[in-house]
Amino acid sequence: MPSATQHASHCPRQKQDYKLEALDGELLLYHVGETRIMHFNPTAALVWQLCQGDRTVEGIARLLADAFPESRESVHEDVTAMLHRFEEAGCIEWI
Amino acid sequence: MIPELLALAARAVLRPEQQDRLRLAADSFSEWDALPAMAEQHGIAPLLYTHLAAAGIPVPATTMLALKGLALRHRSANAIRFAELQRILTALHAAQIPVLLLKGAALAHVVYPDPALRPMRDIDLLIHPDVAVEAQSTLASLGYKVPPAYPGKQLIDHHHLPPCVRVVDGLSVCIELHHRPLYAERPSPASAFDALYADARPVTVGTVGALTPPLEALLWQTYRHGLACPVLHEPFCLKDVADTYSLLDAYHDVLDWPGLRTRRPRLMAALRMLHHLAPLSPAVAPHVAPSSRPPHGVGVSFAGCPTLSWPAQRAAGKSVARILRDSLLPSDWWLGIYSGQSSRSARLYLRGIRHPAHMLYWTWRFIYESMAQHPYRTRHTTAKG
Repeated sequence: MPSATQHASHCPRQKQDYKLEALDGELLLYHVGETRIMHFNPTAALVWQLCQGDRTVEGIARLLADAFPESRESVHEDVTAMLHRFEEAGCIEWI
Repeated sequence: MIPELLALAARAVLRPEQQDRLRLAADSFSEWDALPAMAEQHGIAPLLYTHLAAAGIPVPATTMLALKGLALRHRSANAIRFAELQRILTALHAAQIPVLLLKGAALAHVVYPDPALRPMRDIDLLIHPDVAVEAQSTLASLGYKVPPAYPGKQLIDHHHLPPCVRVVDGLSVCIELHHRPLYAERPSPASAFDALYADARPVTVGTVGALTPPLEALLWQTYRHGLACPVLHEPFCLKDVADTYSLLDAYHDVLDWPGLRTRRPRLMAALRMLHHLAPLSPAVAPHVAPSSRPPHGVGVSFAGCPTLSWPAQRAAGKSVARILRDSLLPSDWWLGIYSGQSSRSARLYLRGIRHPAHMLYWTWRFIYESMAQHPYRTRHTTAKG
């Protein structure tokens, strides 16, 4: 299975039945049938929303860099780290 | 030992003075990192999160975040379950199959201000034994996987059909169709169902009307199936305390107290014991008349065999002597709840004679069920509605 750092040409996609919801100001990603719960900051939530299987890591990073030009230099590294975290949690797949 | 902070949170609604006591308990509490797991194990994570937030208690951020996550997941899971329950009730009504909600499905709607606060693992429905097959067929028509009837030996506690399961949005929704009322006094399942149905209480699940057993029956079933759950099945769980206290708090003015005292002395004795863990509300306590002298070992629940397996306890580092002591000499407090005896002399008899004999019985039953490959045993050890 390729990873964010190994295969930049692959596209991350959310696995089925994971939900991102807000509760009292916190963003949480969870699967109702599993016990693990991830806490997201707004940027991580944005990256998660972009994991639709139609953008590469580079594509996601470029989109965020355009949206947040002041953070352009660190965006790629941040996106890679977040995708790595998603992958470790088992909530995305690479296509 | 059950932390006071957890025990005090085990009720649906906290009065101001109960919130104050929760704050005091939080002041002296230190195991914050372990709290979310403990709350989840006891089935009260959403309640604890709600009460801590409402009382404005300063809690370490990581603990609060974990509790929040658990509350959210249970809310989402219950939303799926109750949507399914509405579908099922609608279909059963259309097929003219009378049904009563049991256990968590009933309590979540009868005693909790928000059904999301009551974690569940399955949905228990009581049906008349004569229509059990039709009810199963109805579930099958809704997409539930209905296992074949158990072909083998006569089961000891076979009070429900094999669970029917359907996966919805990643959640495995499990339905147990009970055809024999739990702990009913009438010997015939059919007449026991009719008696409960005749006195049933209306409740609304989403937009669908449903029925539950009368309050006194719900209270008794919660005690027998939860607090006095056979040692073989599940450990003591604060979820059952929360169900009991919430029902008492919400309906103390309409409950048949004389009837409970006469017909359910075990329940009343257990309430007297529980009062020493988390005080009964001022409106409830006079009906129960708890003693001022606490029993030995308040908050120390049963932690021996067969509730916890011998290998698991050994793996956890328990010595053989400790396992034997925990199995044969449980706390007075737990014994009083489990057996429904609040007097000291009765508990001495329980400790010296009855409990060891009881343990022998359950050891035999554990072996019997293991050898008979009881088809529901796996579920019993992992799920309690």
